Amino acid sequence: MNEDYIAFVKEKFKGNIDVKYRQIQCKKGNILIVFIDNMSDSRFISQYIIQPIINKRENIENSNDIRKGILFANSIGIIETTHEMLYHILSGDVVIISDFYEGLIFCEAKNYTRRAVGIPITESVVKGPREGFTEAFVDNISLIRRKARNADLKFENVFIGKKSETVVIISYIKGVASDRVVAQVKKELKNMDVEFILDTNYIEERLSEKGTLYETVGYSEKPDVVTSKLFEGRVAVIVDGTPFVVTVPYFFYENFQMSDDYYLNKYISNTMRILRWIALGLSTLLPGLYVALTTNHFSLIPSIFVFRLSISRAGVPFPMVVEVLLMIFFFQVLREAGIRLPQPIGQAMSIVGALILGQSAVSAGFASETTVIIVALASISAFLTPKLYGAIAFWSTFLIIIAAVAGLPGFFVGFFMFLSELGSLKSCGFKYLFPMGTLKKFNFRDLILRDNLDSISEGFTNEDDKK
Amino acid sequence: MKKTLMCFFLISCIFLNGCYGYKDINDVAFVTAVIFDIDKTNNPVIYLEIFKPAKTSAKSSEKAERIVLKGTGKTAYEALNDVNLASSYKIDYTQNKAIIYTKRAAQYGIGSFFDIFRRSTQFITRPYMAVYDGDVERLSQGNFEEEQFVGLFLWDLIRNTGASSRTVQSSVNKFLSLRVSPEKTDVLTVIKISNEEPMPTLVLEGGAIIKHDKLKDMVQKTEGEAYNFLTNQVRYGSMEINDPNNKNKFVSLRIEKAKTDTEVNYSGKNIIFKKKITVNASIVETQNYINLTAKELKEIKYGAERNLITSCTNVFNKYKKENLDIFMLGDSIANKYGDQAIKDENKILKKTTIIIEPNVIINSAGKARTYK
Repeated sequence: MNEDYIAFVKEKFKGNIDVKYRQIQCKKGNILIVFIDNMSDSRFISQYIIQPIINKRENIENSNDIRKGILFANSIGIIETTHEMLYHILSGDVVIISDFYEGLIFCEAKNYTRRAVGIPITESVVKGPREGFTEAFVDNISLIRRKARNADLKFENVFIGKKSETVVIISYIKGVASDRVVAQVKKELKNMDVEFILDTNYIEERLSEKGTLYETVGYSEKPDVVTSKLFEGRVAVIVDGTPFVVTVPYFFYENFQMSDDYYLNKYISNTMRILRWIALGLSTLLPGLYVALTTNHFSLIPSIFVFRLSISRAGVPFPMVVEVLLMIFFFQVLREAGIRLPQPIGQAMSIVGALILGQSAVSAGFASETTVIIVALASISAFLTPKLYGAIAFWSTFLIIIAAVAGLPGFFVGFFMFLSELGSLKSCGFKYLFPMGTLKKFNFRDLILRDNLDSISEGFTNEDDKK
Repeated sequence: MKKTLMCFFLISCIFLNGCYGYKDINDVAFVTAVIFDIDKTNNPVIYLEIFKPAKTSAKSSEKAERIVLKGTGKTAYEALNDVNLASSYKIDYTQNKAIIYTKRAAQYGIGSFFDIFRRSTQFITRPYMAVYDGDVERLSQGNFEEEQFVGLFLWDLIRNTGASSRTVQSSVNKFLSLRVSPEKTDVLTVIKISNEEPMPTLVLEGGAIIKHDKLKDMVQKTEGEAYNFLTNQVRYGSMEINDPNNKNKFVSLRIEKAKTDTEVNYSGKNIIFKKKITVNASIVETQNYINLTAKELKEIKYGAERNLITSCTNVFNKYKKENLDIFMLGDSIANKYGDQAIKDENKILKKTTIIIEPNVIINSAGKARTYK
């Protein structure tokens, strides 16, 4: 029987240089140890698996002798199918097969190359925890577990990807998270029919609202952020191989919350939050409003500014709307270049590029100074709410075009369309704008401004579905 | 169905409501002042003072031009269109600051040249209205020492009247409401070019009484303050009072706040027109040394109140005699007793007696809060 397994495994891993076979001669026959180099700890295998077996090879009668009296490994199990065998080998475990007794054993001896816990680039903070998730899901679980020593904190695993069999962990706090959301997430993950999964985005696309540029699924690289969301009743999904952890449901107001807000002085945090809300207004509405006023409604602008604008645009050959769209295009190109280049060069390039581009565009007659300022202000404001970037880019462009065509009435219609879309979105069955528009029990003490920390650490799902 | 309806609603909103007036701001010539004159045949002659951005090939191409275009026609609209023939840019009136009628045009009657500002959507009701007393060609040349644009200069001059309580002001908006009020009278600002200044410049000079769209009389600069007190238009300004200890010397009071409440009582025969004028003032200057005891302050207060009574009563009686209701008396009666209370509006002033009840409150001199 075990000979079949040996034949199977050798056939399956034929041509793989990283799969290692170690044969040990015993009194009654041979024992084959199979593992993958660089995914397992060689020293551990030598010291705690191979050496004890060699020392007692004369006394080995069956698999129980090995499991109970020989191996020093802390995690040992029995393999029952060829699929399990392959899975354990591929996960970095050691599989022990013998030709003189029945049954297969696996020992955990994982030790693959992994990145150390580092500072997340996308969510830098002034004050507060700096550690970020890594690509190894076990590290990520431990980072969360360390912050929440709670027996109700559950980590349930599923395997997704027909070919990759990636480990995906669903995490929630039992009794705090909405049962409906937990069930929904489990169902969605179970129904995923993909060949492989490399990042959380495979799951985000599954859980998020279709046909919108808003993020209706949250993600974070920081364990403190994810832990706080778990305590608030959200469900987190960890995917092996990516440092981003998905949280659902995700509400609109979360785009304006940064983890610093809870670690810095309340008043400073609140000022910053107000700034972020204003920045959303500036980035979305300002270019459209500017086009509407400067092409259709001169009477609403103070005279001195009108004269100034008309002088500064005197040499520009394009219509205002083309000029604004052109400048937005330039800034988008710069932004993309800044992101793709290595960080130190990228940052310098963005700043220098923006300065030179703005100045040169004015000198070359491509744009007026006012347009450069408006577009620059709108573009910079968009960086304050990075997760809304896509939606802002779309809506600001849409408002520019509609404002150029129909003036302020068009701008207002566009603005209401923008609000309507926001109002129609849902995140895992919850209204995206929640708690705005509801008078239910949820407190508004952490919506635009945050209250004292001791009065806001409550879950949001303290409603019907937590009964 | 719901989505179709929503799309229909939104598309209707945009296409039925939109402006569709796309104009690039640099392709527009902005009018800053419109000057109306009449020719020998009483047809309108219009001067438009225009701000126009200049295109240059230079790197720093920021330049503006002041141009004046002249148009004539049988009607104001024809004259304005006539100006368009000489303009390479579309003329825009949204930044117009002043509509100025020459004294000659005002005497002829501005009714024939005013309707366009009421009907046409390209005009706004914000500009000030003024009557110019002097050579119209000189006015159209502009380029005064302080500001080259007449419209902008006039705008600033009138907005600065807070500093002086003697000038009168009126805008298109105000004129539109007063020309249909019972008294059908408004007082427009009078401007003229003063040669008394070191460099000739535009100055405000009293008011022009327009009744039934025609110039009837002028409010002198000296009467301006009393007129403004009677019509509750004084905010800041000054009053000069005789020194209680020396009749040849004066004490200057700065008006810090003023308010006039009107009360009108019509008994069926006579009208009592009561004006309660409350003035908060402070002493800013004395020509002679004065010991400001309670007695002196009281005398200054009475002196100021006496001056108010005299000047306001004189002004009222002067225009009562001319039957020019520039005090919105007809309006007050119509508001209180209805349009039909006095059918013959020409008799309103004749039946009216004015009572001035001043209350001058003198704040202690030298309070720190008065420093600026």
